[in-house]
Amino acid sequence: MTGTTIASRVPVYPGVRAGHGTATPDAVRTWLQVAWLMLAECRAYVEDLEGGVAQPQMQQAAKLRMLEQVVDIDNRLAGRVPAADAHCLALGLEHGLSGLADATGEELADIFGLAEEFGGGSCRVDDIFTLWERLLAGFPGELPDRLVAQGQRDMLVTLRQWAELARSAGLDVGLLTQFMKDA
Amino acid sequence: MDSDDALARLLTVPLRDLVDTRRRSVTDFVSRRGLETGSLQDFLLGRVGDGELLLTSSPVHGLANETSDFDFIRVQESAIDGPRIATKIFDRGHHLEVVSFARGELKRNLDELTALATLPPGDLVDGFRSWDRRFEPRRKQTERIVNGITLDGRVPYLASLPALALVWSRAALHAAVEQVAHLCLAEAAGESRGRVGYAYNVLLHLMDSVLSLHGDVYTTRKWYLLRWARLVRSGAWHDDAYRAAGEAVERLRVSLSAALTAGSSVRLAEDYTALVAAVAAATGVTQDVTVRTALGASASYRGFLPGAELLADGDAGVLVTSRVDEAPVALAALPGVDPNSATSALRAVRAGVATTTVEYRDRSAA
Repeated sequence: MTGTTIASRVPVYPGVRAGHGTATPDAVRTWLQVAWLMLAECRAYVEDLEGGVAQPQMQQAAKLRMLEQVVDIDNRLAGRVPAADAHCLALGLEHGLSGLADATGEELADIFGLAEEFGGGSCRVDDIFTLWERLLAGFPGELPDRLVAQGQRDMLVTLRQWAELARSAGLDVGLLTQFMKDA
Repeated sequence: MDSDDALARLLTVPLRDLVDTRRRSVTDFVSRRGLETGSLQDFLLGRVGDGELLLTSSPVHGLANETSDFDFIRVQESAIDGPRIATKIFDRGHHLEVVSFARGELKRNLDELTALATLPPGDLVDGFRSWDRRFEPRRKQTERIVNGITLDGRVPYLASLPALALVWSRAALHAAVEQVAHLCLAEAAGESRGRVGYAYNVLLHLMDSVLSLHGDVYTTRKWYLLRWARLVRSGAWHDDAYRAAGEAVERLRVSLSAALTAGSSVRLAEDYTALVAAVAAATGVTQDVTVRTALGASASYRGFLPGAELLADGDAGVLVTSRVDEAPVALAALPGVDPNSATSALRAVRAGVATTTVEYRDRSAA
């Protein structure tokens, strides 16, 4: 394993790869919410990290927010009642991830570059991008990019598909409304 | 005249300088993207209809970077029904968003802000947190409007900045108190990195609380740390209490990453609770602050095995091996919380079967 970073080797989506089953309504609710949080929230944080090369303090705050979001997604994929935002950073750093990726708290602290001075003049983001690319590549399906014009059209097509999927499980696609309001 | 006095007391620079700086930031931002303010205004109003157009967010605060979007708010004279969906416009590589509100509801919100700012901290924070269930524009958008600037360089709602600043500062301090309580629970429960997760947020919320009362109010958390670095660099503290609290924030900020690897031999609880108390005092909170872990209204303990119960409320449940102590604890006493009680309280708040509540008690009544 020498020469590889933790970000390039932590297993992603372990539950998907194992084929763990979930009750259908739970599976539909979870994957719709997770897909939305990935394509809307996480992607926006990645854009912040990319745009902030001259603003390391912004990047540092944005990467903490991204880590909170990653932990929230992990809670959902692991079938837990999602913890409030206020606890996500602590949960991730102490207890790690098990749904989105298989990573310890120490490994997360390494990937997110938390050893550097909080609010100092530099911000490590390369390993976050490595993990993000692997999370996108490993995601079951292609996530629309709503931050570009073509992605808006893809998003509408996807939402129509999701409405049908939700109905098939006896759910309402309105289950995404709470997240969209915040976007 | 009154509002000008209140603004002058709040700001760290003369009002005229602040407006000039914002005007320059916005003009630079628009021209760096190869656009011109007059034609941009005509283009947008042509797409979304007539009204008062405000540019908001990072360009106003001089923080915009190459991936920053154009976020506009449009105030129209007639009423609007239903949810407010932002109009997204993609034009020549630019991503522009406009969301519209009615003048009547904006006035109601600004009046609400003024009223909230007169309340004691607990009631003020209740009003702040329930804002989005009660009002359009939502609280973040209300902040954007107060700070917003028209493309011809006017700041029509800046007179509401002092009320906004006080409300936002109290809400941020409240969040810092909650997070320092969680930090103390996590430390008492034996977590080493979890407590650091809370410590990051204590510092960020304290920075936001102090920034707000220096006239720098901006809702988005990703900007707190950069804005803080800017305030520290300027040294423009209102008074010595702020300066001392600011220096204390700086000391803990610089040493925080080391705490992540230091293990549990280095305690954080005492320093962080003292810091929260110092910022509370500097920002003018005169009440005593107490914290308690409150179980949900329908929460109950259900027997499982000797020494373990399921603590459940609604659809959420968590196993605990001792009962949660719901008694209020003074801020300064949080570092002394009992480890068993802390373990249960931490599980209960993370699982959502309990909440951390903050109370402010008048000293004269104590």
